[in-house]
Amino acid sequence: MTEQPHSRSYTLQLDEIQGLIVSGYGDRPAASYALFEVTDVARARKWIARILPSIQFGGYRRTPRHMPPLLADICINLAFTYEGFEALQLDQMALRGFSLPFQEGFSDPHRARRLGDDGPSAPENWTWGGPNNPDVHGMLAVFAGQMDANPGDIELPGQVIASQIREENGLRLVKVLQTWPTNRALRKEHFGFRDGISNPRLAGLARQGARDVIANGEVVLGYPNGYGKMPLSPELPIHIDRRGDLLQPGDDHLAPRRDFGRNGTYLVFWQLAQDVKAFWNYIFRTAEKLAWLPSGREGAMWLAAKLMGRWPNGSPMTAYPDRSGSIRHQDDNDFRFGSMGDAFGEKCPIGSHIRRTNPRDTALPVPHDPELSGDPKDPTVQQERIDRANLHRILRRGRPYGSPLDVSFDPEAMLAASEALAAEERGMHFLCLNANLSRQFEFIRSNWMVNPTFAGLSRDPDPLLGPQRACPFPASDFTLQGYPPRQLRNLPRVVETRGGAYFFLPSRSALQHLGRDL
Amino acid sequence: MKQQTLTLVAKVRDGAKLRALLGEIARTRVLVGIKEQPAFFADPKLGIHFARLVHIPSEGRFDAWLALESNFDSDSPDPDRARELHIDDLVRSQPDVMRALFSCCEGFPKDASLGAIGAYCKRHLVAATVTYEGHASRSLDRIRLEQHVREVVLDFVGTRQPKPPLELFGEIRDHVRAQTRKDPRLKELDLDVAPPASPDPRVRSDKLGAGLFPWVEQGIPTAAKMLPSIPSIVKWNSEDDGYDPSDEQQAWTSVDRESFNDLAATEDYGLQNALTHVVPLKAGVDREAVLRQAHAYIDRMSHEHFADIGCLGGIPTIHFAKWLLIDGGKRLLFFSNYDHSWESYLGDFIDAAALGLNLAWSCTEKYPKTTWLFTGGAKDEEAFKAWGRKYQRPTQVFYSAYPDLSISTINNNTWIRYGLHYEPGTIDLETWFRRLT
Repeated sequence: MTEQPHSRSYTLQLDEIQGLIVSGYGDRPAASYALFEVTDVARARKWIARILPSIQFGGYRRTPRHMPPLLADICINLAFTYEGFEALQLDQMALRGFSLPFQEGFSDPHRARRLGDDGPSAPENWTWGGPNNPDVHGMLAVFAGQMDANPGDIELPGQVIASQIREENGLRLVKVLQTWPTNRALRKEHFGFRDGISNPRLAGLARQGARDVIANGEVVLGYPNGYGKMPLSPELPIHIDRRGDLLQPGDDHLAPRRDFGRNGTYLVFWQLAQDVKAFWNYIFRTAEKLAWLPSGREGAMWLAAKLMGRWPNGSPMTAYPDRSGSIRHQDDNDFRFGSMGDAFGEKCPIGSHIRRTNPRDTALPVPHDPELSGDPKDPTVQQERIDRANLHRILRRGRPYGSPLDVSFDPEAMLAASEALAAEERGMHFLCLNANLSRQFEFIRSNWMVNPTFAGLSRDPDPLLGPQRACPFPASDFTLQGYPPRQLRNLPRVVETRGGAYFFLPSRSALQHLGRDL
Repeated sequence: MKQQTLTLVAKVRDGAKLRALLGEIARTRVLVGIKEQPAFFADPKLGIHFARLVHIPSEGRFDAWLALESNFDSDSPDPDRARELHIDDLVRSQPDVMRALFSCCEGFPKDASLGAIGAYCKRHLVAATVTYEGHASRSLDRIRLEQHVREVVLDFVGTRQPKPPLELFGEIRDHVRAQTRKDPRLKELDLDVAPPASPDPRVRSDKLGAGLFPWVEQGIPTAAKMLPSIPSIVKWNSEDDGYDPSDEQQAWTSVDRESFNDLAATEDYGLQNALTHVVPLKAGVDREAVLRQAHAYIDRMSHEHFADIGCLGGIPTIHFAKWLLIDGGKRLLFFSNYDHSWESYLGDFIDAAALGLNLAWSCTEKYPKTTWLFTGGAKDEEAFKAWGRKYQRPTQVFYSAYPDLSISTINNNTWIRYGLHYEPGTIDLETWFRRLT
């Protein structure tokens, strides 16, 4: 099925690629995202040219030269929405060359229905993006600070944003989305589970022999993807590229066009609010009612881990099905379900959040029928499934926002927190990168998360997102595979969408092109 | 009881009136199971699994058509007779709407009597070149019974303490047997007799393990009949254009964008979707003949091999599908009733059944370039999906009798029910328990 990516796919032009593709800047604890509108195209273009040397490309540890003092040691990335490119008067040919989801936008009503953004998560209710808020044209992502350095570093992103997103630069600030400073040792999301593990590696960035590798073209335009084909990319007529900023299309050296998309990628920004008390309340209440579970905290932690698919410290269910284990190394999470003896979800439930967002070698769509789907222990069968699942992977770059309900992330302490603190909003700024929005990000949401019949289940959507109108059932179930299997009923919706947009993260050359006078 | 299918296609005289009427039919809904469905097809006496009404607009040299498709249960073993009886049932069930629908079409008698509506419909039946049923041999009643059996079993095991599978299975069986005496929804179930003969689990096992043989065996008649067309195929191989998604996208007009939006507006309201696809054949004398041969092969595979397995080309997300030629053999129409999103459906096809797709469509306009009709083509993922979307048309009225059941759930329920007919110890209990998920 998937062809071996051509050898040139391993040579990424790092100097052209924005740093966010290479790294989530995990050692920069402070991050803010400025959403802005372009109010004056000429000034905005000049600003792009001015800020370009400060933008982080490739390996992020290298300090760029010619950096204004404020920007020293700060990582900046810049992305635009389709409306943003229109406002910057990008050539029509390139505008038409972007993928349809990008052109239509994240909040398109048909898309929202398919992705499960309904009820309180519907685009009409978003705090940014969507039909009832000002247009978002671009996003400046600023990452700053060093671990264990001056706490004042946390203020740096705000200063950078204030100095850049200004009327004289032809820009108007729409919203600043703050993040909660990351703690690399803890790296927990608000429900209290370790986050940011099991990201795939790009072939061009992976060490020899690394596992969980995907083709460069699954994330970066201009390189062969998992099918061995060049992803579609927005192009320009050669005469528009007067200064020769852009590269020729990746597989065609004689083309009368230039590739605006090459070395760029689509960036999804999805703001998710998490109701931490509702989650743990449901868990403790349900665990109490289930006679077959150990009582109290032990049963509750077991249940929560089954829904998530991982223990709070990040140790995988497949290795530690009944009790939290140690997590020594990233490789602890670099496993296959079939070879770990969990093809049928008896350890890590089929419908758990992390298994359905990364099913690895789970037989899709029906794991429970080996006659139909092949022997789960057979390495060839496993590899075929991995290859197919890898056609839907994304690079995740999310960070939490809002203060933790309790800094210990202990469920009982979080449940004991004051109502006032619980009412403050907290959640996840989920960012991800992919070359094909419909085959990757949207597929994961509609087919793996929202779909109640994922992997042979019957009425079980993602346990963290709860019931959606797109799902024909009035309530969500969750099935624990085993002898006998158990079903939980009426899962609450504990995560809601607050905003979102599709951005494009252009290459250095593309930004250079945008920075030219019209 | 056997599943049958019919398609009738009539030339449209008044498109505006038809569109308004289809809108009204789509909006007039009743509760079917747990989700509202178009009332037009919902009369239980019709025995419909999936059905649709589609307005195929006129394009270029091609006329506009109204298509009515139904996949239904019938007592009649003769497919032609079954279709005639089904049309009579449709006319009896909705005489006024049927009259209004076809009065938008050419040649429909004014103030047609019931008999005249039926006769008109029967004259406009079109034979499919390929048909496929994903759960052949299971009637609506049986699908509902087997779903209920699964629910009864799951509710029961939820109350049990863990114990050895054999013991638990015995308890489940006793419980279901006791329930059949009390629960009217289980009245057709008798665990003390052999399970229904079809589908046959042994045949399914054999066919799943059959390897390449059926593909070759079913291909022999096609290969023989295609011999005279080889010079044409060689010529097409060198001359046919491929589909350039980049160029096509550059050329999108506002009409194209509206059409993508219209399509999206008809999708993703539940578990299942309808796909209506209509594409002209490429120019050339032999195209129709070659396409018919290729389709004859797919049709044989569909009935001789995949029907027993419960998936077409290895894809267990299709309830019913069919291909047929309209416009005097100049355009190919494809109807599919499938689970989940368009993206996953096309992705499954590309990843698992590109060869079948190429055979089905390589004779049609702008299809991504193939070699010898069957390699390449759909393997060009973005080109194939863009091509598929370009020729897809909205399905204005779409009906499903079990909008909450995926094809894999329906098939799985059957194997759960079969297990209960056997004595403990005579089936693979591990696999049986896994099916309860």
